[in-house]
Amino acid sequence: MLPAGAKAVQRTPIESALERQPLPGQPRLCGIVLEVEDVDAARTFYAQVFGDAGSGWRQGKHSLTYCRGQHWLELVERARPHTLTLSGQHQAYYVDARRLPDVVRQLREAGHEVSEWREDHPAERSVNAYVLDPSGNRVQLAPSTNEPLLLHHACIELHDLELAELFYARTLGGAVDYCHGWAMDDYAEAAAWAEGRDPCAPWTRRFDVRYWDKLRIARPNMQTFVRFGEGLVGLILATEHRQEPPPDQQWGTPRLILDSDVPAQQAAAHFASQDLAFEREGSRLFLRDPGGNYVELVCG
Amino acid sequence: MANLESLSHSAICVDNLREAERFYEEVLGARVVNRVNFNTDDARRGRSVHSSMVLGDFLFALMLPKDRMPMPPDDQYRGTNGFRHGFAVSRDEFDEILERLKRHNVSFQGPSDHPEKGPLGQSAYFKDPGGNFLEICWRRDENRVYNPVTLAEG
Repeated sequence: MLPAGAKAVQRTPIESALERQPLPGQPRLCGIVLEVEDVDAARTFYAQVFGDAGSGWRQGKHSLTYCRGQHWLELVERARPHTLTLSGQHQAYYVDARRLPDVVRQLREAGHEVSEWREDHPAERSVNAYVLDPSGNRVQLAPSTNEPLLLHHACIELHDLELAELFYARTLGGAVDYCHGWAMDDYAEAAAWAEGRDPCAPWTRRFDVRYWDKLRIARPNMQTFVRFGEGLVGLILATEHRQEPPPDQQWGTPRLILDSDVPAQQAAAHFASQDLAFEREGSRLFLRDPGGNYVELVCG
Repeated sequence: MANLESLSHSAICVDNLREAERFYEEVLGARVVNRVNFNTDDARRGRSVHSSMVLGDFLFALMLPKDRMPMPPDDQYRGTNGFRHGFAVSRDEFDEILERLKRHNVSFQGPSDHPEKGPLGQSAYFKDPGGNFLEICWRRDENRVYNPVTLAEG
């Protein structure tokens, strides 16, 4: 009860997020669920990329799953897959560096457009190959040597990077690994891109029209990378607003999957105590981030 | 004569906002009140990239410069022609800030004694990570209120 005459102070979303306590332990990125139009066509494509047409695949009732090491990719069929082709959303999979030139050649021969771009995370400053799967999900081929895992990173878009960082690094307990767009050097680099001298991925740069002199200037697009175990989640600032799912919906696709050693009962009690909406099915908890992206937490 | 109300704010250029925020928060006890151009609406409006911080009743914006800034030599603690921002702190806080500077490996000059009959007791001089010159001082007359300023809401 407020004293007479006192005004209730509405906390901002950032103030609320700052008050949340992190989930104990650090979850690990272990999987991705993507929507595809045709699982058979998707399997053909990804089998070529992963170099595995047989042993790693599992057919489900309405989905197809590929596993390597502790990571998996689940493909679910949708009539109109939500792929955000024109956004910064993409998934980077490890591809054996010795196979990579052949994979790129085969993809091109099969009619796929393969782009050569670089990004800003220190591990991605060399040019990599990017291609769309048959449904429009953007795939990055991350060269590796003897890498037993599948996922290097997954990038998603959000409209507020401060809230995004608080959700992934504070509420979910990830560790901020790298931030881009906070430093003078990042802005100096953007000028090289604007002059066509730097093959940056399209979502890493943007033109802003400065409000006071209407000058069109090149800027880095803000990015924050958060580490979850061996995998990274890249948070990319959305350059335009997109339709979000209904606010009370916590469970959907596409989504990131994190696994945690924390028992489901404890994780559920923790999120409830932090006033964080979620749904639970057995040992799986489903949440959505401040940008409307879905996250699944697989508990121990 | 111009009828100014008060100093509204300063813009301080740094070459890394995150690093500078941490310095002003952890060493001087400032707090971030707002970050601009970290969301889609700000980007679409073409706003400048900056962090607004409050230190006591002083509002300042950490800005990224248009181009790389020349960094002063390590052993220079006062700016060209002595230019710097000076913050008054209590006698106790003065010593605590010096300890925090040491803990954060920030080199400083001082404490320097001021003349006994002047209003200032001691000062220390140092730089933020962007090479901006700063001073903290304690006042012998710290109980005297010179010009109280209230920060505007919002």
